[in-house]
Amino acid sequence: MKLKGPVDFCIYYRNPEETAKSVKLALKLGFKTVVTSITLKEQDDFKELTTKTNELKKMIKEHGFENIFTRLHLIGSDISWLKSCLRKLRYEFHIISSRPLNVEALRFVARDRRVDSIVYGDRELAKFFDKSQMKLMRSTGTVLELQFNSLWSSTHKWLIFSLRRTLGLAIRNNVPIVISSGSSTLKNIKTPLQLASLLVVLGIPYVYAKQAICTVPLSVIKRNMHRLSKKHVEPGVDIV
Amino acid sequence: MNALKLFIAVLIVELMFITATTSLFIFGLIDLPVFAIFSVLALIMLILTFTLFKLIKMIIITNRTIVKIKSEKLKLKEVLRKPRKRYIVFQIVSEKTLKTEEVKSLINSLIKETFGLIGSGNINAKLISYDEHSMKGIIRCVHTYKDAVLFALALASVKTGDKVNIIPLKTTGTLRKAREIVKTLSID
Repeated sequence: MKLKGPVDFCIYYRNPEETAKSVKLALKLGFKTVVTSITLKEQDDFKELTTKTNELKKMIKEHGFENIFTRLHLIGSDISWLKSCLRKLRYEFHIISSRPLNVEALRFVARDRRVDSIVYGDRELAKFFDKSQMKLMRSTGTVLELQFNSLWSSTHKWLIFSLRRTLGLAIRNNVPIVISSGSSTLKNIKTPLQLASLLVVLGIPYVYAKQAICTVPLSVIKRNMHRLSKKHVEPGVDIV
Repeated sequence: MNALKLFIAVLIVELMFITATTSLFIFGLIDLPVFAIFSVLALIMLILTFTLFKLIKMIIITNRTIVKIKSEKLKLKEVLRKPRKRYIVFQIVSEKTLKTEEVKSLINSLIKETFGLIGSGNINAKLISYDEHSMKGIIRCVHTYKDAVLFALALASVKTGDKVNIIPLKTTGTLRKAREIVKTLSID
C-alpha cells in the first residue's frame, strides 16, 4: 500500500452507507487518500463510539477501500476528559484531532504530542491562535487544520476575517497547515483544487496550498503509521 | 558588500605601507627623497583604490537597476498581456433539476457576494453552456482568476444550505476540449 496525495483529511462519519458514498465520491474527485473522522464530545458515551468505530472499520473492509484511515475528533473543554480520551483511544485510531472550546484546552492540546491536528473553527478562540500557540504547535509537530465547510457555518460567519492573520502566523512560525473538506454528505464534498483555492484566494502561494492538501497530511499519516507500528518504542527509539 | 570588504582590506594594506615608510623615515633608515617618492606612490595608490571602489559600486548599482527594470518589464508584460480564457467544466449535485437561468443566477450571485462588484468584473465569469438533463455545464473566466471561480463554486453548498453542490470536473483552455469533457467525464 503506497500512500499518495491529495488527501481529504476529514470526512465525517454519519452512517456506513452515506460515508461509503462520500468516500467513493471523494476518490472519484481526485483524492488518493481519505481520512474518515468520528466525532467525540464530552457528553458522548464511549460505548457509542466503539460501535461507530466497529461499523466504520467493517464498512472499510466490506467496500475494500485502500488508503482510508480513521480519525478521532475530540471536541471539549475539560482537560482531564481530553487526557483520559487520549490515554484510552490513542492507539485505536490512526489520527487524533481536536477542537478545543476554551483557551486552557487549546494550550493543552498544542502541548500534547498525541494530538496530531488542531482544528481552527471557533470565533472566540481565533485570537488565541497567537505566536505562543504556534510555538507550542511547532514544538510538538501539531498541524493547524482548516475545515472548509465549518469555516462558513452561520455561527462562525466572521471567522474568515481572522483566518488570514492566523495563516500568516502559522507560516511565519513554520507550523504546517492542512486543509480538509470537513464534509459529511455528498452535497458538501469538495475537490482538491477547491480546497487549495481557499489558501490561494487568501494570498498564499499555490505551492504552499498544494502542500497543505498533499505533503503535510501525508507526512502526518506516515508519522502515525510508524508510531502505531510495533517497531516504534518511543520518540527517537525504534526497533531495527 | 564584497566590494566594500575588498576596499577596506586594500585600504588597510596601504595604510600599513604608509606607516611603515614613515617609521623608517623617522628612524633614519631611508632618506627624504626616497620617503617622498614612497609617499607619493602610496597617495596615488590610495586615490586609485578609491576611484576603483566607486566604479565597482556604480557598476553593481547599474546592474541591479537593470535587473529590476527587466523584472518590472516582465511583470508589466504579464499584466498588459491579453487575458487568456479558461473553461471550467462542472457538474451539479442536487436532488431537483436546476434550470439554466437558476444556475446562471446562482453562479453570478456567488461570485458577486464573494468578491464584490470589482472582483466579479475582473473575473468576468460567464456560463457558456449548461445541460439540464445531465446537470453539467461550462463556465468561462479569465485565467488569472481560475482559483477565485473554483473558490466561489465551493461556496455553493454553503449558500444553498447543502442543497446544491457544484463540483468542478476539469479546467481547459479551449471550448472544444471543454465540450468533449462534458460528453465524457461524469461523477455518476
